[in-house]
Amino acid sequence: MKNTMLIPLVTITFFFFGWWIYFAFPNGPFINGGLLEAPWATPWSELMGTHMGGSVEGGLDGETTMYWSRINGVFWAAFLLFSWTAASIVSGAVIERIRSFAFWILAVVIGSFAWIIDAAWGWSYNGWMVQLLGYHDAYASGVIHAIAGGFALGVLVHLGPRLGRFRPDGTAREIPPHNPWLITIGLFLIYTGFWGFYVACNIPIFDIGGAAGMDESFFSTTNIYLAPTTTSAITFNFLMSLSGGLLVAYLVSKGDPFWTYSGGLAGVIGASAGNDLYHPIQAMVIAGGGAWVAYKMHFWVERKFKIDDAVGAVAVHGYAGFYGVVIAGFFLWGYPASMDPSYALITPWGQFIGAIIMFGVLGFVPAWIVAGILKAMGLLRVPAEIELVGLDLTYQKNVDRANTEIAQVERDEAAKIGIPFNNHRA
Amino acid sequence: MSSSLVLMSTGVETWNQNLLEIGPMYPFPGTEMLWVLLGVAFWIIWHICQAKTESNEIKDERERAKRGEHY
Repeated sequence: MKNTMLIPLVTITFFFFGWWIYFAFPNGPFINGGLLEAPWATPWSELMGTHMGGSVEGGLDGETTMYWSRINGVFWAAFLLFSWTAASIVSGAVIERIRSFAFWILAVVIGSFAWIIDAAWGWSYNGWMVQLLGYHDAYASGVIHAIAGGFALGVLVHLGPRLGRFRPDGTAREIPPHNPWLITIGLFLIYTGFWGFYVACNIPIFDIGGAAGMDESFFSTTNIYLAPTTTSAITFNFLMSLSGGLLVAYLVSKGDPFWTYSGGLAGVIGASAGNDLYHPIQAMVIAGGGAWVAYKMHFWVERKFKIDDAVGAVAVHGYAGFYGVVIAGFFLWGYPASMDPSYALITPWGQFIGAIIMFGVLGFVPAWIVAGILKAMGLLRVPAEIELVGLDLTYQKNVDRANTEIAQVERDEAAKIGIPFNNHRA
Repeated sequence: MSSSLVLMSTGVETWNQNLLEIGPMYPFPGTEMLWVLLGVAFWIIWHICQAKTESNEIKDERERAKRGEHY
């Protein structure tokens, strides 16, 4: 239910303010300039509704009005998909003890506020991080995964571990999943969705001839920065990085199924920042590093800080995402971050600062503040009695009570008409 | 008024016109801010109602747990 209801909550808040933030905040604001005008993205804009483009809005010209009248909702939904993802990533780390109220407040904070600020800063052709740091993160190692992992960690610091997770000597007990097969199916669904996500991060065909200084049109697939890549490259690189992650995770976890599948994901995330430009074998090797970092960091942080990251979300998304942003700075050192030659080039230090902003400034810190407030109000975690019997108890108990009652009625009816009846509900 | 049966118009009255001149096509254009306020209020009230429901549910289940009904 937590993951289901984050969808409508993040959707409506992304309509109310998230979409406007993306277009208004590329300068910070006040880091590289002020707020930008985005009259098509305010929730009261005529262009947020059904519109034929015939009357201009907020000082826009006719062509711009016509453009946004047709495409606004489509782009909004593409970004919204990432908003849901960011919030959903957090949900896994906090399972079995967070209150629904707290989770949904936190989901709105990351899904409609924190992540879209980072997108405005570092996942936009004119974001200040792209302009000043040369930040490059084509498939969102940082702007989705590092921020979501950092955010989850900020919540976990206040939330604490599940009951019984740590022994008196501080070592962790295993809490086995209820259904490993559903985990397998879930992770394979994520792989499949991730492939679609990769394609959604591109503009499929765009004329970049003018921006490149050519005298003629040149149509290409571009990344979010409107710089060239190809669908061929990203298809190679997605599958090679998935493979690199799976192979290394299998070795490092000694064939543990959960960590092998999660390592595939960590591999893709580790290579995603530069997968628009890497060679496929580079993508495979970098992805292997991502899986290794996620696995090793997860258990180190667990031992050292007693953090109970129930599904490894901080590790797979946060640590692998951080690594992915930083490693792209070395492999793509000196590449242009944009078609605009006045923007900074990609560097290791630009990427490292970017990774800290994603994981720490926009991920960990807002979560730590909001979760701290919720904790102080007694609204963050369920009481121990509820955690022990399970958060889905009410639903299960209602099902049990209904089955018991209807089974008795059916037995009574069978007795009235004199037939033997072995009730399957009881 | 295109039909004597229509007593009022909430927006578009006919498609037989220069479509390039049509702007917003939803009913009651000009009331967007009102709808935004309504939507934001609905969102906040939803959280308040949910928080109350969850707190009551937790309270009831804690009492049941203390009575040993869940074990």
